[in-house]
Amino acid sequence: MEPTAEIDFVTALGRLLQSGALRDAFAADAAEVARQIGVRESECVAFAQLVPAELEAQAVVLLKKRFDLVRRGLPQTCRALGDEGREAWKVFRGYARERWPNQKNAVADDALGFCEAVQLTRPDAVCRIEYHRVRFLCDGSRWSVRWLAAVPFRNGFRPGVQIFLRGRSARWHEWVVFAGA
Amino acid sequence: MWRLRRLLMHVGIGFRREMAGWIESGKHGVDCLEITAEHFIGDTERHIAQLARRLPLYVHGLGLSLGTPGPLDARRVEAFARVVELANPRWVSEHVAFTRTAEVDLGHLNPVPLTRDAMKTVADHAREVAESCRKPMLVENITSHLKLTGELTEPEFFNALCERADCGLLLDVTNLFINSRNHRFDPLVWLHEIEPRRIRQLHIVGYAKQGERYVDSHAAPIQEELIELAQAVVAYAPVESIILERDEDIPDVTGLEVEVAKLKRIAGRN
Repeated sequence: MEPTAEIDFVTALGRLLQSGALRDAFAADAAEVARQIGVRESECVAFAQLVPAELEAQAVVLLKKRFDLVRRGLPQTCRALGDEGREAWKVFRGYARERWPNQKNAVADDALGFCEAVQLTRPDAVCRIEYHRVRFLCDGSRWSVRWLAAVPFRNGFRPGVQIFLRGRSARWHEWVVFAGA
Repeated sequence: MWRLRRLLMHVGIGFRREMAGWIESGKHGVDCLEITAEHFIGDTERHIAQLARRLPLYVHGLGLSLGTPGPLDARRVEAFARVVELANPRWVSEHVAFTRTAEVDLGHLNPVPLTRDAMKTVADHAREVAESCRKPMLVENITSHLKLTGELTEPEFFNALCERADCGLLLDVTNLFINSRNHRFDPLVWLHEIEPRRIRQLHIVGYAKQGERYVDSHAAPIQEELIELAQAVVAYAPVESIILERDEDIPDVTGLEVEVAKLKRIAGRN
């Protein structure tokens, strides 16, 4: 990769904190990464002096912050993954290490990415109600109707539909209608 | 003189929604509240006026990203200033950190390098925020796993920053303690390199440990070694207020009263 326009130290550090692959490359050859991403010459020494283990620890802090926001919106999915949420953190960490959410709708975008990562290995753990909700929040449509094959209801399950409606402002509404309820 | 100031020191708490009933009861024993501006931006602004009628407020920021080179985010500054206008605090505060770069919002506080350029960036931004809000500004030390270096030591950085921005220091005692343990330095040596007149407010909350690392979980009761460090700060500097900064696992009323009693002990009021 050829260097692009020069970037300041803060921007360069931000890139390292965003990308696990870039941190791995930095741990192998810090000076080469500085050259590749075009760190301003006067800040190259400070950049190269960053400690890979400390970088990784700081990156984990940022991942945990993202995870805390995502799990609030996906409590059933996180619970279904088991081990009191620890499994969810493992999956999230694996997914999020290389993916940074869309800035405009970061939490919903992250939640959708996480659901899709869970879907690959543990599709049974994805709560469809939560999944449809984050899809609706991400896609920007005015309304949406989703089929639910098995919604927990009292001690059993029932089929139903989930209806979303977005108002003119950012507010949106959701209804779940059970068949035969 | 400072002994008299200690008696007048405000003991307060960072307001969180879970505490609303306790605050409304009037039996909280605190002298002030600190509100986080970002929690009140938008349709909850009316709550600020309700709180301001009960107790003096301080306004604290999380997302102004003073350490990002280039201009501040004008919309965020405007929203912050609106909260300040409603709260009418003695001063406002924000972290010495960046949460955004020119490319991305990282969503959390990250350290700035200890260089003169970074110090000037933070100082000029702090001055701009103070001017926008028409209030004095305090800057706060953060905790970080990253130990960034530069041509200045951290105390030199803070002294130069406060001088250039003509602002005070909000010393987070817990952050100082955690950094001193994780990065192996003596917090009292660090403290005595800071110009005492700059330290006007303290933050404190219990720390947590994850393996060998100390972390700022904002979820634990204040430990005894933190009380001792805070007492050392109060003996050294003309601190005017001390705020409990509990964000997670917020205790019940009895637990909150125990924590407030610890702040009063630090202030020498028990």
